Amino acid sequence: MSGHAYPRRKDPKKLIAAVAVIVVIVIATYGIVTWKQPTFTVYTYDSFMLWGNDPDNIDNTVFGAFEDQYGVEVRIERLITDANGIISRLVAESENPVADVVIGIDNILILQTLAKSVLEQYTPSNIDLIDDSIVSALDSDHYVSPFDFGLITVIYKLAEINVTSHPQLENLTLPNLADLSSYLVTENPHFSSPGLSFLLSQIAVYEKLMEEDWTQWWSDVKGIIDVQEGWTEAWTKWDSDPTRHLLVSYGTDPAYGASFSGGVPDTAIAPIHYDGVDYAWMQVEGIGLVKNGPNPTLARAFIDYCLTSAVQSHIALNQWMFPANSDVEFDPVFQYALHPDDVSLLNALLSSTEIATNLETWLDEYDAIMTG
Amino acid sequence: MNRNRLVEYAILSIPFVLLFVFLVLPVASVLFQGLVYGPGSTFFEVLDSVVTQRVVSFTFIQAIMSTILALLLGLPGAILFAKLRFKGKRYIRALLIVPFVLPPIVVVVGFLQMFGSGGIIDSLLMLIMGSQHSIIDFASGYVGIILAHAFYNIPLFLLIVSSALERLNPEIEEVAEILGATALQRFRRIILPHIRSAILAASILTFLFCFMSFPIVLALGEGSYMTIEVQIWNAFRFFDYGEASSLALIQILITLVLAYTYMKLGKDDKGASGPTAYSKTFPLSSLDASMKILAGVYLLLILLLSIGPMISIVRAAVWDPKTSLFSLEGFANLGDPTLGGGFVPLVNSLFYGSLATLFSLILGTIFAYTQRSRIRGLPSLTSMMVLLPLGVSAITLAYGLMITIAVPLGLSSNPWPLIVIAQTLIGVPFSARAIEIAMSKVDPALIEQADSLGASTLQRLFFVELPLIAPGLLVGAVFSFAMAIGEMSATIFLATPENFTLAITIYRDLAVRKFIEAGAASLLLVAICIIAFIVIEKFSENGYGGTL
Amino acid sequence: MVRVEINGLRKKFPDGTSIGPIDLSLEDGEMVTLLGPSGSGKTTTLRMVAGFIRPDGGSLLFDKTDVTGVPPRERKIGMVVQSVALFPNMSVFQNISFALDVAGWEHEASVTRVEELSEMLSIKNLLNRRIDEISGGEGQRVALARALALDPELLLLDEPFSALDPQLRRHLQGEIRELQQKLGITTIYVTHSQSEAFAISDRIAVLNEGTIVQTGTPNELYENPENEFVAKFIGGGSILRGKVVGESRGLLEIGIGNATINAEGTIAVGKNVTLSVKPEDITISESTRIGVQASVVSVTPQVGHYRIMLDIQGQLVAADIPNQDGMKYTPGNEVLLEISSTGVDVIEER
Repeated sequence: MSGHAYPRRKDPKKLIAAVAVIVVIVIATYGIVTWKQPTFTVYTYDSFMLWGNDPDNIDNTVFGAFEDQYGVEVRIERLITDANGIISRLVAESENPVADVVIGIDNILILQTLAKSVLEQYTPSNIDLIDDSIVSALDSDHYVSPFDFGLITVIYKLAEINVTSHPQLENLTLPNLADLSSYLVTENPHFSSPGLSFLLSQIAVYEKLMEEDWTQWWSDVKGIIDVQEGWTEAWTKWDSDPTRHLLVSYGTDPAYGASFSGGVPDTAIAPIHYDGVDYAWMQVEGIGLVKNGPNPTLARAFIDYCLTSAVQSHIALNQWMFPANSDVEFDPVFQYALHPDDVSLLNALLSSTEIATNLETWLDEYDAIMTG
Repeated sequence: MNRNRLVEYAILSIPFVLLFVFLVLPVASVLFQGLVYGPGSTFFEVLDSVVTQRVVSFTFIQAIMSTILALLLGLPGAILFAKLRFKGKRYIRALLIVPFVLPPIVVVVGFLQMFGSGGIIDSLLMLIMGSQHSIIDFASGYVGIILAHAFYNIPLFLLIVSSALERLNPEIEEVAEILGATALQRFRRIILPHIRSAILAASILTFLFCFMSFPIVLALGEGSYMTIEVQIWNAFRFFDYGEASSLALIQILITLVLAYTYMKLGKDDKGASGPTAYSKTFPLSSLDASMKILAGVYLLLILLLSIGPMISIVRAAVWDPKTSLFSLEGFANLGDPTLGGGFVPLVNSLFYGSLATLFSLILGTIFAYTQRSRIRGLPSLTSMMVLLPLGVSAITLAYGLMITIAVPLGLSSNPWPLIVIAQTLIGVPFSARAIEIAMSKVDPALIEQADSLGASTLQRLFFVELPLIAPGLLVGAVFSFAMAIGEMSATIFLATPENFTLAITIYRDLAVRKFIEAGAASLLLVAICIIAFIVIEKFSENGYGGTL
Repeated sequence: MVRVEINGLRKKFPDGTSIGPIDLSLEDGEMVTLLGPSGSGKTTTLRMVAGFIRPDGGSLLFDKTDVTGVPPRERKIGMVVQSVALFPNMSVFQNISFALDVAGWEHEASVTRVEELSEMLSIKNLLNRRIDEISGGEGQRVALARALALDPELLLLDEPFSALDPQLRRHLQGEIRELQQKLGITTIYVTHSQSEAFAISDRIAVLNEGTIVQTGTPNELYENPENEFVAKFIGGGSILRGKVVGESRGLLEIGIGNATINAEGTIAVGKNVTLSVKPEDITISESTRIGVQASVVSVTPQVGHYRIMLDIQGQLVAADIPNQDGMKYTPGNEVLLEISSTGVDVIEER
């Protein structure tokens, strides 16, 4: 019988060596290919400026001029988190910061001591491009300067529900909204800034306008309302669940819808109503200088640049927020959006000190109600 | 000889050293800082809070109920899968793993469309009953959470238990049958003792999985339910590091107690299985009529469960809701090499996932050895270490890796090695358990033969043990790969855009309403998962047929 | 080959059972059987020699080298166990070539060696089979070939044939003895079967309750059992308890109840003794007056004779009666026995 009929064994040492060599080569190749040169880095949240027609080239369109002027590559690092997550990362990196600038810290988050601890105060030289009211609504200590702002409100699907079928949508009070809460999807105030804004709106209305205990509203809707993790989850649930018609969202949502469908919006806005006045919470998103960042001079120039119309004129159609710079004109589609002039701002009812002092208690009370 | 001993000890210590550096140390430093320096609540304030107490009890009860449900639903399937031959078996098995690799948001939407009010089942019922109103809603609240958890974890029981059953010596069962044992007696006396350790392992993994559940609870709980993990994130996001650390410590302590109990329970297990052999399988047609119907109904149910989410994924991959048109743009995006495109994440997913699978199999294999070691205390330590990665909150681990490793080494701008590490860690509990169970079923006489014939430990491992434990390796590999490729929590915290994986891209695309891109990426993930499953299965078949 | 010296090996298990101290030495090329009932410690002893069980004390020398701490793989042993333990993931060829492959032999050389061995054991036609495609007897041959492949210095056989049918077992016993003598390989054979031990051993070590109670050639053990256990286990002799009641014509008179048995020996009158009586040394007396009274308890036909169990004053004795006589008796018969005084071993009880 021929010896070739029998199978041979491979030497395990050779096998291990071969696998090890391949693994090392693959790792080394990947490491070299993805090696990152240090550059000018901006930390921001996942969807920053990605809502326009050409999200793939938006960074070049908006920041190209700055790159050319200073001969630097600007890397916009969109982390898959929101501003709270970015602050956590900045805290973690505070020994050895990577980012120069951070965009997205809003008027509630900046009240956190830890958020201030990773930022350096800076007043942009062109801060006068922005209304004083917006600046002070965000942070009068100038840890962050306003980048854009938006209004948090309730929107609904016109195909499912309207002012004829539900007249209370016309002047939607919070007690009305409680009645409709089986239709409502909102965001978790712990995980999402619209969710937190909605909670603060509700607290402001109950405590300051109606002068009632705010917790009653949540006790009434608990188990009926659908609270999702973040805006994306809430929107997805609202969109895919045929029983949920109302969503806590941004007041520019109908404008966005109209812009992409090319016609009239399929959603409408129902601002919180009380005693003949429409109200909304204003979220101001800021841009700030990272403390001990690698390129502080460039970072200051970048912040200044971001307040000019070179950047600000792109905000409306790519970010679907209102630009902080009040000189910028809007696209006509913004007629479908809820404008700051249309409403009275709930922010005025809750001072920053009040929020800073009570936020933790409010959230704990909220948890106690919702898990009870 | 002394030198060989030393080398052996060095190799055995590798997983402990790695787990210490990349798991224990980062987590301990976060907990220490949080508990001692805060800022935020103290440990006792957290314990004292009524919310914490509610959250802990909810976390426990839902995890127990989910585990029991997954066990009840998964066990018949495991027996069916081990004993029956039928077409498409491997594809169903592969499809069952899919929920692990997809971002929860995708699975949840699929789940809603299947079980929610107005979903497929509900619509059918409404049609049958002639009702205008939604009849059932299995996709929200307590029921929804437990069903979804069971749905997620059925594959654990199916795969781990059926791979153990495949090693049940058919002679034992035949003898029992000759001796007149009824089917039920055979199950109780023969099959159950044989798969006891596999059931225990699947149960503890399921329990921990549900115990640590985060996105499912948030998505289906509608804001009324929180697990400890959710509360940790809550605290962490508002920089209450004291509370986050206290809760994470509670989690870890509970996990350790569980691991200890599990170890004690597992010790009684003699795992007597007779000589290593293959179980016999039967074609579906060999069953009698009533069994055939039962098996058919069960398979249909499993198929429904696994295919349900698939339908919505396939549709989402080709149908653009923004334009209301069918389009292949989503797939085109997968070839786009820019940062916004899907190509880099695809490469990343495969690269990180393969590395993590390889590493967790290696660690799992070494752990299987230390688990059987005669060195005092080593098996107990192994049991604890193996389960620890599942009992450590993902955010705590990610934050710990960031502050103890990435930032000091300047890796935080491109922390891909840490992503591989995090993905490896999350796979270790699965690979180690699967391999250890398989090893314990290998006839010790075979190992002694290899020793007496002069095989070195390495030769014994490659020529005898690995081929014999191939089914266990397969299960370990599948789960490690699935866990790695689907890992979201730690990866999201660590990754910069260059490091995004497909799962993260799907989430990112959904966040900016790039539905078709997200759909195509989801479908690709499903395809990768199925291909990986089948490739690994092929490998292990060849491994067993030959000698590797 | 190798000279093996086992000096005081002992092992205590957590459940309280303990083995040893075991003392035994094997000459080069000798085949020694460890014989004993199950639980007597023979397998444990073998596994200590193989190195799978680490002894608590004592030493093990191969050709005067202490191998007590040497791992099994370095001991140059071949081992065949009852369950065969063939690697199910390999073909017959790969099983046999395993030791050669792990020792780094060239493929061609191992093919030659495997073919040579398989020829010797008549299994050459099986080489490409899978393990689940061969029979039990073939499995033992393959296991033997695998154990012999690398010319081990010591062959350890742990009840290798006890799962086989008697005919095949006897056949393989003969073959293995032949092979062992041809190769001149030092061998330790473990069995609980006395006939198997007698058939193939140079010497036998009888184990009971963890210790060797007697070592010797089959004849020595049979003729001169040193204690009750050996007598019973080896000779299959019956054990009776009695008392020396007198002496006459140089023979002891031992009283068992009312009956008296004569035996050779010098033990003081009045002492308690144990007797060992071999079945073939008992005949049933044709006379009706002289002899030891007994009643028949059972009659079992065996090859060439009947095994008759008898009750002497409440103590059981076995007798082997040739065919033509044996069939005469049925249980309940009262008979008289003739017991040859030379066939009775007497041991004084302490």
